Amino acid sequence: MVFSSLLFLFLFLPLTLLLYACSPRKLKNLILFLMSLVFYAWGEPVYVALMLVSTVTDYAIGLLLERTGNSPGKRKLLLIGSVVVNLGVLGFFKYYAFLARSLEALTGISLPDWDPPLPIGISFYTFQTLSYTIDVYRREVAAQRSFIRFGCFVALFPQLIAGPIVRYREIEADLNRHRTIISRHLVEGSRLFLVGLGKKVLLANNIGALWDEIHAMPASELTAGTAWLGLVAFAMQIYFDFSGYSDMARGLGRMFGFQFPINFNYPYISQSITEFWRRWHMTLGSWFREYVYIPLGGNRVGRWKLFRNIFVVWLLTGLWHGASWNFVWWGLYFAIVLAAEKGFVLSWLRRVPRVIRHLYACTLILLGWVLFAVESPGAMGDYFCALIGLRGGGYDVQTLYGLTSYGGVLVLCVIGSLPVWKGIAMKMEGPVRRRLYDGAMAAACMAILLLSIAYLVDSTYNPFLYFRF
Amino acid sequence: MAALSGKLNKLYLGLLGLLFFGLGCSMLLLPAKPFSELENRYLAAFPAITWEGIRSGEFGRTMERYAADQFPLRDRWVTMKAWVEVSLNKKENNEVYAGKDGYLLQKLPEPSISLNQQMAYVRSFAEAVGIPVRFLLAPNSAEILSGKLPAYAPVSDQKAYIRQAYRLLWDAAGGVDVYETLRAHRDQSIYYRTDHHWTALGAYYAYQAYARQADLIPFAQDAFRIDKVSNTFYGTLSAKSKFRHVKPDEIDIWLPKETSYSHKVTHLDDGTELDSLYDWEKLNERDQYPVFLGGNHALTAIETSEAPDRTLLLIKDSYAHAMVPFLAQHYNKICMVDLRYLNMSMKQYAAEINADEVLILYNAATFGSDDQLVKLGW
Repeated sequence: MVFSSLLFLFLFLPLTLLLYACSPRKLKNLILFLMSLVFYAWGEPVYVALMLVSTVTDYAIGLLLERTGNSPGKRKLLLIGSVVVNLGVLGFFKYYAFLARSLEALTGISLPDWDPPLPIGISFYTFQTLSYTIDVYRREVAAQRSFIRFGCFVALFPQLIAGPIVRYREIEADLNRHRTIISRHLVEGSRLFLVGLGKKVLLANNIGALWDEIHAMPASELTAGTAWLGLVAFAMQIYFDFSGYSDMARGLGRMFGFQFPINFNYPYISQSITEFWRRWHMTLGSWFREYVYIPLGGNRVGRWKLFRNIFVVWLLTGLWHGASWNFVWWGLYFAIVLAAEKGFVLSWLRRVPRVIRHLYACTLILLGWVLFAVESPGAMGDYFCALIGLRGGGYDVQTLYGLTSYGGVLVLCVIGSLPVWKGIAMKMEGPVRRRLYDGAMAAACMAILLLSIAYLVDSTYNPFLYFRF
Repeated sequence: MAALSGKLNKLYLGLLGLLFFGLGCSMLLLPAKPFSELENRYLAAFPAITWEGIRSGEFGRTMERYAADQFPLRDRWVTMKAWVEVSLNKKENNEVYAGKDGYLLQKLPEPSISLNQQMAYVRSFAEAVGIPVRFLLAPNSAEILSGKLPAYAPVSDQKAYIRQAYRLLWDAAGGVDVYETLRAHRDQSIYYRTDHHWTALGAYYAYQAYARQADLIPFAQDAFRIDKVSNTFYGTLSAKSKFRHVKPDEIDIWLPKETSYSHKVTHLDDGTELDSLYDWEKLNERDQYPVFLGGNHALTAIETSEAPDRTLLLIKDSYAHAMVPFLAQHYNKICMVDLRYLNMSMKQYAAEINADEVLILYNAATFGSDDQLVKLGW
């Protein structure tokens, strides 16, 4: 099930809220856990078992770690066990086919030809449970004694399938306290949720259609104008898609009394790539920083080790996004840029006007998206050539048609990626302004909801009109 | 954050709650609609709850479809979306362009079957059947009225496609070229604004071109009385795109002034009969184009008293329906065949009905992807 479906919005969500509100305190977490399992099983009836296995394993390991407080040997073993199970599961289901193919291409050794399907959310929940066992091992959190509460941490449907990656310590307090549905949370949560829904359904899906059209054309025939237009369209699509989902997750969490971490902080206003990665998919960044970068020494090491650390983390970041070489290149691309920035670029950037910094960052971000969005190396090369105008001239009819058709949506996207509303919200102090703000938010959210319903219904509109006859 | 002002937010939450619970309940509790007239398809029914269905995910998928198909006020929501698209200056929705002068134009699809292949079927039939065969490939409105396409919209080259098709006839059959004549009259209402078919006027010009090819004397325009039978026609293109800002079409029919021909139309697949070329009841349905001959049937026989004693075998798509009223005055029997619904040899059938001539009539957009032409080779 996905958030942006009519079934979820009008059956699952109201039902869950109702059940949660009406159930006695003791059963609230159980209800959440069970409904989350239903949510997950809806799309993947079989793989819910896999997730449960991961959950049970790490729950047990967490308790055992606590019980073996005094034997470092045993603790280490337990930790390794957890890492092996989690990464093993992730590695097999997500990366087996990729690794097998690459190994064969490189060395000719051929492994059995399995192609396991990718269980939804596996990249998220394995990282979450792993963060739990590592934190318990490090004695930074107490193990969770209640299986239901732990199950909620892992499986909570708001963040289960598309993040943000929530570390246990971030919701430990919320898990353990008694939560009820209060109207303040509903208001804040619904606002966040609806904004996210709008981002996904109204902006991402829309501008994504432009990218799909341009992507469908052979890259070797694109003019520079069309190529750049397509790239901007993709950049907007992926941002609004991903940040929309994160907003929906946070909004839903809020409604049930949880405070999930923010995952996107207007990444496209960055003035450097270093800044970009502090604003994009922030929970992944902080997970890698906490569990890979810092253990490797972080930036408190010599220059070469620093570069090594950066490369390792970005290689993994790229790989996390997908089991394909273009994601690896994407990660390494940023590794190189970040190393350069740490080396000398940042100090150079400080001396240029702000506009140049924005231009620099945006260009590098967009170029990175080529690596992300175009999978085959041949098409990738063609696309880069198109961007610098090596194929067609400046622009053509295709560019103009794209611009005139999607100009409206593009403008909305650009505005949406700027912290305009946040700036306005900051100035709304005092009772009168507060009321104005609340009214405007309410109206905007209702409008977004209605429009989103329209788009969602339309996407299933499938007339069979003897059209070809 | 400071405490949120009470009343306004309670109102907001109330409205939200009403919407969410209200729509959800209607979706579940209102009786399910089995068929959508607007979309011309069967809507999903509530899935059976079986263990196997749940395990395989089929139950989940069907529930999703059910929620979407049975969503209350479906039609209104789709229209809202089309309205938003128009406001955003999008000129295209669901493969239909909103063109100038209130014209909706079909986005011409790429042919999925090679033209060489299609024409090979036509040729093989024409060579084997032994009677004169003519081939008419009609251009679509997006081609002839390309000036009405939205700015910068990509145009596909149907003219070259049609030319090539005629070239590939290799004299096995006579090609009826209607392109130039339609292009010459493009400022007249030769295509519907909201439908992908040509109007009676457009079919008339094509008929004139056909008559020249077939050595017939076409009836002049003033031999007909033009009757406007509808001004509320919203055709396939408006249904597909849901663009509601266009005016509806008018349907004109051309009735011969002079002689009182009497027609009998028999649908040989279900036995229904009409005593005229027009099925007036269709004007009460959403799609009014089937007023011409009652729409698509596998096999239709059109008998016209007072017409010369010749039999025409007409292998066609729905473009032919607008043209038959003109052809009917030259053949006392026309047998109309829709290859989709028939699995018989056309050669044999032509012999069975003692056909004197054959006309193969398609519109170019359909022709490019019609996979039934292989039957011509049987």
